[in-house]
Amino acid sequence: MDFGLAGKVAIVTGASDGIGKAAAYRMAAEGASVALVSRTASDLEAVAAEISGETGSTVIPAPADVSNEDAVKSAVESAAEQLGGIDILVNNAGTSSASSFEEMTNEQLDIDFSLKVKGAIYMTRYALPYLKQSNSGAICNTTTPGGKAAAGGSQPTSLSRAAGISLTKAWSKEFGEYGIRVNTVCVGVLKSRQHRVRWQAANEKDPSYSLEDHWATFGAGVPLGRIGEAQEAGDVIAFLCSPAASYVSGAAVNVDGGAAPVY
Amino acid sequence: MDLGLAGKIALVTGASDGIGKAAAERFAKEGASVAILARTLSDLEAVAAEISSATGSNVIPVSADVSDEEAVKSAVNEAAEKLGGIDILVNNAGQGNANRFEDMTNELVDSDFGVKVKGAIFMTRYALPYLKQSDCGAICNITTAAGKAAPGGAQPTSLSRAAGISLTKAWSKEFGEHGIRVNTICIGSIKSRQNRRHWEVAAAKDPSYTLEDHWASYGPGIPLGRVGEAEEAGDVIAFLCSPAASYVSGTAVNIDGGAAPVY
Repeated sequence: MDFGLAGKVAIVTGASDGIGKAAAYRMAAEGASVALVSRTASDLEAVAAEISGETGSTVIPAPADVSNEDAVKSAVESAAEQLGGIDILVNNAGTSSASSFEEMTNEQLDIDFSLKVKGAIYMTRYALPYLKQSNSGAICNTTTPGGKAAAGGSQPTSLSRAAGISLTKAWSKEFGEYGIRVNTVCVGVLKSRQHRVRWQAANEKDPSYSLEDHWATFGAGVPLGRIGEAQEAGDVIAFLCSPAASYVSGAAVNVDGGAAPVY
Repeated sequence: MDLGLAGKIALVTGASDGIGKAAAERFAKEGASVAILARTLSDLEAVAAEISSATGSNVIPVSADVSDEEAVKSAVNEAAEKLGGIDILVNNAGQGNANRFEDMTNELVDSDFGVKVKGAIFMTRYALPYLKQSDCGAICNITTAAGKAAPGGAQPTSLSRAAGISLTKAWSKEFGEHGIRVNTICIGSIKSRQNRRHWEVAAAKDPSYTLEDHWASYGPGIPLGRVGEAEEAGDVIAFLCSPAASYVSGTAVNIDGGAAPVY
């Protein structure tokens, strides 16, 4: 199916690895120009060169800490200038921060909320004028099913994700008049950088614990019986942001192999 | 993006018009063989010939009333025999029945539940052995956003749709071990056959009321400001049932231009 992404301009946060990189890759493969946002410019340059080399599309680094509003403003405006506007925004930046209530610190809460909630607000604030000028504007926020049905011991991630889902619905109501669609993907356990980092920590303690062992442990509670690949989320993000999903807005799509207790 | 549907076999109910026909067309365009099911064989034969000649894919008619279990069993087995199995089942048959509680009769509850809920159960019961043998089995149930958030005056449709969403989640948990994914799309106001019939009734009373007037009447109240095309639902169904959505299961995707109060 032709997603209709050729010639579109996308900006993706948390794009140096995992889901963000996979979404950027898919959109570039479909002919979109893509700006990659994350904190470390050197990482982004390598990823931009890699995706551009594989797809032939224009892919540029736009480094910023999304929790820093001034940095976000500069990065968004620079990306829009270089690529000629913005049609698609993917708010994907964020790492998991899972504690029980009694272990959760104020600092942890502030950091998490700044990165995941304020980061998405800042990106959307500065991308919105460009999205309004697009004839196919779309936003996709990456959240988790924990934002719909919080597990114990998953704070503050679960509350930040609930906020992200709430913003999605509110924005879909407000931005519809400009033809801008807003959706969220609620990702379950995928082979993301943050899970690879956890394996590295476990592997240092027990060198016999392989990465394959680590991925297999996640599959047990998933109806499909396996952990997901980052590309499986990236492809859904690309679809939702494309003209092929032109009547889908305000939806929260689980990409979790069926693991969540709720739809 | 290549959805990976070439060579797959899909069975779609309520396929003689509207959303079901649009889904069947998309499957066929992507190279799948499709069995289209509805009550009236002559309608189906015309649609099968139309889609087949437009796409070059194998499209066959199988007639059945989905609320008749014996008829469903025969039709499913016939489709699987002729096409060599079933990889994808789309439970789309159904129409709106929107009343206030005090206007709703027992007969209406029974007939609505018979088509929308039992129909999906019967289809799934007889398609399941074939889906288990597929390496990419997928089910998509068509419901509405009223199944998540019931307005007044939408009974018994809203309760049948709530049941369809519930079945989706339960089946995603049970069938995951066979690699079968189960999702639902919750459709809003689409240019479906049933909405065209609403216009026919209104136009019979007021001949100056055009179909365009009718479609325009849906716009207010929808964030995107317009009624959706059947193809916009059909394309999402095809995506969700395809290997491109390989980690999406147990989710309920609104296709409603943002109209629903909930995600």
